[in-house]
Amino acid sequence: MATTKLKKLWKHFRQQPAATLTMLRAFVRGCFYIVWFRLTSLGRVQIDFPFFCYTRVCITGRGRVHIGRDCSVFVNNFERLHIHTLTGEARVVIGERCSLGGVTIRCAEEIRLGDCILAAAVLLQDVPFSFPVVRSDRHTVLPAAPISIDDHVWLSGRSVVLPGSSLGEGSVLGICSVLFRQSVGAGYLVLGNPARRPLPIANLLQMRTHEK
Amino acid sequence: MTRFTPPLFSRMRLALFRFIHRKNPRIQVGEGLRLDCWLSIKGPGLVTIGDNCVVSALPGSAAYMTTLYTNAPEACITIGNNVSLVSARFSSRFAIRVGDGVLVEDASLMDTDFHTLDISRQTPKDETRETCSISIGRDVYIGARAFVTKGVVLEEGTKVYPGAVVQKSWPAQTLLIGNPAKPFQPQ
Repeated sequence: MATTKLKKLWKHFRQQPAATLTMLRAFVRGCFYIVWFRLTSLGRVQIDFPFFCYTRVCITGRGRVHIGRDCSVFVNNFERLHIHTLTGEARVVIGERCSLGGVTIRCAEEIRLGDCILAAAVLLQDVPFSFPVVRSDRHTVLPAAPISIDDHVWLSGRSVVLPGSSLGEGSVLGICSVLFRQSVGAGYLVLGNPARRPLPIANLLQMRTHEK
Repeated sequence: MTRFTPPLFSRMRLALFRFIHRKNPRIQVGEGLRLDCWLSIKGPGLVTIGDNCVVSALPGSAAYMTTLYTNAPEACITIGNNVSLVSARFSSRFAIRVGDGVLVEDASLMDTDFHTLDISRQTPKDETRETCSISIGRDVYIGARAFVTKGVVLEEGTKVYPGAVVQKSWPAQTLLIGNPAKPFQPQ
């Protein structure tokens, strides 16, 4: 098992040496993050092995965070992976084999991401305004509602997911769109700020083939 | 009511802030300002900050510091008491007035377009102080990645949700979302 994996890696190295070295560096960095969060977070943050980390990761707050195995964090010019739990009861669960580039999560209650999620420069917030949760003496706290995102969802660039929204399996959230208080079924494309009526992806693909 | 005393680091930051702006009479800061992150003030205009304000930043915001920029000598930014600026960005050519108890969270407020629509892209001449000033009332919340454009008047209790782009004025106690921002009903 291990030898086949090493052979695969060697083949990859022969084909693309620079990319393989970057990947190894990300792997080492990910190992460092796994150990670092295990030592410093007192069991609140759990990252499964292996974790590929091409850029910085910042996890703060008193809540629980779980990141599944084989996740990777990619380089994004503006934002890194930030997970900020605002309360002690907050719970962030990220599934296996996700690729996250510049995801910002601010969680007060519960945010669940499934397996194989593609995301870039996305903001996920389960409270509309996160500062009043931290300093509840200053402003009134608006109610939180959990976010759940199923497997194989693609969250495109600069989109925002707000409280009470859920995306079904295989759905796509369009670029710069804002999803708010809307639960989308499996296999839909959602576009717009705020998000409009979801379009079934199967029909769109069928239309594409008819055009050809 | 007990006086709000900010912790050590924020007091040191405030002392540095006061030292840097010690010769600038056009920056007036009230009592008990708490600087959790750096507050950047630039430009020739007048900036007034009320009592017990908090300048802060949440981890995960792309822009870490709060910026209050004035682009003309007659520009003024007036901020009331108990205001929280969480990595907010203000850019003023005429006037931005912010009431008491306002929360601005990683959002931008701009009371000018900076350039004309025609190809010369000069400073627009048809913008006036009356039509372009922004006025934000009491207890208005402005969410992350939101934007308030010129001439918008938001009255008391309005909540601008994250990602909204506000292009016109709305009555008090509205919840706004979307681009252009539209009101929605709470559940």
